[in-house]
Amino acid sequence: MFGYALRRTLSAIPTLVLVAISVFVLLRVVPGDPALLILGDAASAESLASLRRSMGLDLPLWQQFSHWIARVLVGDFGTAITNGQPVLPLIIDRFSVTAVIVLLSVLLASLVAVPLGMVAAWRQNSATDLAVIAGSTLLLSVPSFWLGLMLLMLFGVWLQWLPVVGYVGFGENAAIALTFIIMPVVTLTLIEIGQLTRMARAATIDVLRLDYVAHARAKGLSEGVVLFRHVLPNAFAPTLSLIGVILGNLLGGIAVIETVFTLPGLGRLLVDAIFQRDYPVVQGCMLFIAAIYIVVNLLIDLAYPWFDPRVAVE
Amino acid sequence: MSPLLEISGLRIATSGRLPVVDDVSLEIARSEVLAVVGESGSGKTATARATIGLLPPGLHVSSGSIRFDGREIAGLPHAELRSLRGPGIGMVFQEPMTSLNPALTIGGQLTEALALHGVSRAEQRERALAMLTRVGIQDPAQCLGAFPHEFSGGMRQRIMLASAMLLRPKLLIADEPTTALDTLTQADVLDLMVDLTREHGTAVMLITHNLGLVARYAQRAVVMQSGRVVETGDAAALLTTPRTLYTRALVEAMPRRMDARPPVPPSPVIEARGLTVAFGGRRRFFTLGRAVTAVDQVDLTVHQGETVALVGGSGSGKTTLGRALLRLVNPTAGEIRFQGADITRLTGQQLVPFRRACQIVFQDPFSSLDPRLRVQAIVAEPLRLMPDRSLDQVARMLAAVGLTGFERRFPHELSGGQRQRVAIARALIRNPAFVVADEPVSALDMTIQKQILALLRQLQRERGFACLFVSHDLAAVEEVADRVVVMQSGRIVEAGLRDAVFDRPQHAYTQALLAASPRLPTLTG
Amino acid sequence: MVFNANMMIGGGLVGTISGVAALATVWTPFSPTRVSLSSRFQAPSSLHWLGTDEFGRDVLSRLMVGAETSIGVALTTTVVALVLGMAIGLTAGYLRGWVDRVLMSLNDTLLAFPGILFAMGLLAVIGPSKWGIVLALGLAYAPTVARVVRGSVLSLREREFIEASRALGNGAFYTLIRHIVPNTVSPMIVLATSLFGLVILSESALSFLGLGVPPPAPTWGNMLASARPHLERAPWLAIAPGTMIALCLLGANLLGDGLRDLLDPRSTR
Repeated sequence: MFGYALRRTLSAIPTLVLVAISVFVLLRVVPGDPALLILGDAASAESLASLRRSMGLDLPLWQQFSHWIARVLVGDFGTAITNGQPVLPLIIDRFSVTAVIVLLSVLLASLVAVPLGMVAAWRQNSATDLAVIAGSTLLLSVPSFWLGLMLLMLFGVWLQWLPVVGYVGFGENAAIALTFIIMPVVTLTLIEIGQLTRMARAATIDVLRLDYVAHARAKGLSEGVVLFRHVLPNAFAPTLSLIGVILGNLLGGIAVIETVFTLPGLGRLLVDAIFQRDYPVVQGCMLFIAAIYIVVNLLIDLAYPWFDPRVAVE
Repeated sequence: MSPLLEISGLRIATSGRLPVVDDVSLEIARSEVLAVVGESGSGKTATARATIGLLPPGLHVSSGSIRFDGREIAGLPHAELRSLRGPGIGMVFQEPMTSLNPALTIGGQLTEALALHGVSRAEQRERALAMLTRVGIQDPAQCLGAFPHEFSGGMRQRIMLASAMLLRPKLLIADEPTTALDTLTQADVLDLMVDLTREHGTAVMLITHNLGLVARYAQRAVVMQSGRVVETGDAAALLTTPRTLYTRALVEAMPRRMDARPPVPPSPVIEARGLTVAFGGRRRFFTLGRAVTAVDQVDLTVHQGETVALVGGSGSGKTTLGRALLRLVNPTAGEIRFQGADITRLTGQQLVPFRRACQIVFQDPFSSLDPRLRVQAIVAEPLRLMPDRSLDQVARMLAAVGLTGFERRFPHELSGGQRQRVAIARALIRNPAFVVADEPVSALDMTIQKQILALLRQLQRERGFACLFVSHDLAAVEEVADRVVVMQSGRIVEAGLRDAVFDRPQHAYTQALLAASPRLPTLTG
Repeated sequence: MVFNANMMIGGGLVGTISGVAALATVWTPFSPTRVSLSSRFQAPSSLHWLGTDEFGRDVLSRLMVGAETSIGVALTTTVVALVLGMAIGLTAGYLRGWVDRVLMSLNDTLLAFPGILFAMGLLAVIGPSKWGIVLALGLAYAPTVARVVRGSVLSLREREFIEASRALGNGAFYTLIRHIVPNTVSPMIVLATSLFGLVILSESALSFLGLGVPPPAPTWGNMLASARPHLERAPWLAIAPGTMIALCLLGANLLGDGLRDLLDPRSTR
């Protein structure tokens, strides 16, 4: 068990390094001269050369990379070209908004979707099952940003229950902050329920067919015990993997939701930086999100043996 | 005294009202072992599952009565039926790999049903430990905290048995409990099951396709075919003097020894000297996995026109040896000669002539045929790159295996026996000099096994290839082999002419295998 | 089941929308880009079935041209991702050894980025354009395809008919083409269908963010983005393009489910 945890943790390191290299190559090497970007076309040759020297751009590429990665490791992601702020604190500040929405919605969606999918599978081909499949397929087909716009139209514009534009941090006023995140969280929760319910249902159907479920029933256990004790852990394992994937996709695509609801989150920071060609910020955001994604998947894999002890053996 | 279980006029139908079990009646007395025998599709498993109320979705009891312990249980509400399971009726399943929950400890799975019946925690543990000891688990205390994947198939079946017997059921339903196990383990587990149920006075419904087990373990037997009971009676009488044609066909399908063929003039087709196959341990971050020697210093020769049976339990290395002789697995050491030429180190294109002259028939006809190709394409494939290929040849080969007119079918449109015939046709179409048959009949029903074995024998007579028949099933071996080679842990422990090995086994392992192998009394009348 | 409702409804939806997209290449009721300030924000009427936008452009015409863009981008991107992914997956799965290890660690690196994030990073560098989207999304989804292909190649390799092919003396390449590739077709068709839906969604999300096909060319995504400030005044601007995306996704999802049932009767998903 410990061996598995250690192996799995260590195996995340090369992935992280490769991710760092690809981010470096993509956003530092491909776009061209960062000094030119900072100083603009009008800059003189001398000032460009001196900036290059001070940024280490005259060094061989591998040295540039090793210097960059050494700084990244101590939390120095560089400074934003547009406003000169250090990148990492900026990212962390924006991430706190994003993280709340993403984690809340994944949690809520799991709490709804897993029981829903299990019940649908347990009553396979019944009216309940068909309703669940139809509902989740519909949810799966609605783009999150459009659902967000529709909610905004209904509760913001027409009913005027919730604010349409702006954001107040939880630090300032928790009650008002809540009114700003209700709609984004509900939007994402609904979308994820679509995916997760289908997965939970499919996984449960696979498990229900296995002999150990019949064995549990043959011992005289009640359906409740059979479902909770024997089916749930085994059916939850594949669902857990999907939750990891969903978290990643959410983090990657969160910008659209933040745009709809005008939230100052990480996604918005990234998109704005792309428009302003602020590569240090783009680079920092991508590295940060990819790293979070890798860590989330690592945590999920570490939790996996709890549901399926076989994976720890290999 | 009324029987413990009395099924009468039972009819089980699909949701489309098609009957899978039709008008089945049988009874089991207290403490009696009743075997329910039949081939696939006979309805034996559906009958057993209906008895404990665990029919799969899509099947339901449409009429008839199931009386257990004086009480009608067909159509009983779910809650009442549930209270009967466990202490009333217990069940042991076929597939040891999927019948224990991988996510729960053995202890958790053993004690959960006891807890349901108000047994105190201390007593639960005590009884679980006692039962694990009884079924022969080495370290029961440690076993309680272990997970199913830590045990072999045979051990898991013992644990399953323990789990069912802990509740002291009045009736134990055992659905092909040992079909997935090798001969030695099968005998161990069944002996244990019969002893244990006798100690507790538990009656047993033993579902099986293997008549050999009936003779050995059951007092009475019911023979089923296509959802109906064709014959019921005393187990021994049923096997020696079957009253119906079907039972007689089943009994006759049991492999039996043919007269020994005249010894072939020694003309070695394939020879192995000191053949060793080791699988390197898989490298991990910190440790180098242990290397396993699957085949260890084996000498073996197969002559033209003879069948050599390679016998052993699971893990004996017999399958690896068969693959190594065909160079499908690379040998670590030793030498293989084919028709006198050393082929041990040939690679790539050099191997092609050898590949064309040697063939293999696999165990599982469901995975050995490409599902996307038609029968004709499958059988014609070995002729690829041959100058004289023709569809006539394919038609002739299909006729030889009894599949005339099947050219345009896909594998999924064929039965298991038909697929195995296609596999044989593919193997023999180029008239190979040497054929490895790797458990070619163990996935098939008894009557089909008989046909396939006869077909192999006939084709060998006509074509004269040398055959290595790899099998754990001694009954089939006794029928087809000229010589027998017994393997244990990668080594050959005994070799000789069939009659000598079967009648006067020298090695203890061979003796144990023979003792464990179910055989029939002689057929009379 | 002979009658597969999922497939018929899904196929019908995708087919109809593709038909509309095809029609848009030759005919639209109005010019999708002609500005007419006198007819701004007109509600749906018999003249403009779906109303007009903030520049007085006909929403229906823009929607049709948007379909052309979205379907075109989704089809090309799916093909790019499939071809790339199959090439990587087949090579890695069949050759195994160091080739597999190298290809798969590169592949896993790309998979460590959520697909759309990777596409955004690429677009940041190459700039938004139609072919930029195809390239970015194609590269972003190819690793998923490679993963699936490699997985099915590895599981096929364990099947005995592959060993039988070796025993017949067939070469590795012949076995790959004759026995392995045909058996990956069914999972690939199902995967292609869901990729198609995923690309429609990602493309419209990128367009919504302004990273897609640049205006004034209409796409469903940029139409939604420009509807955001006018929710109160012209709700139809937000309803119509979103409905199109949702119908397209629903069609792809149902078609995928139906194909899966059809091609693999044992599957339940």
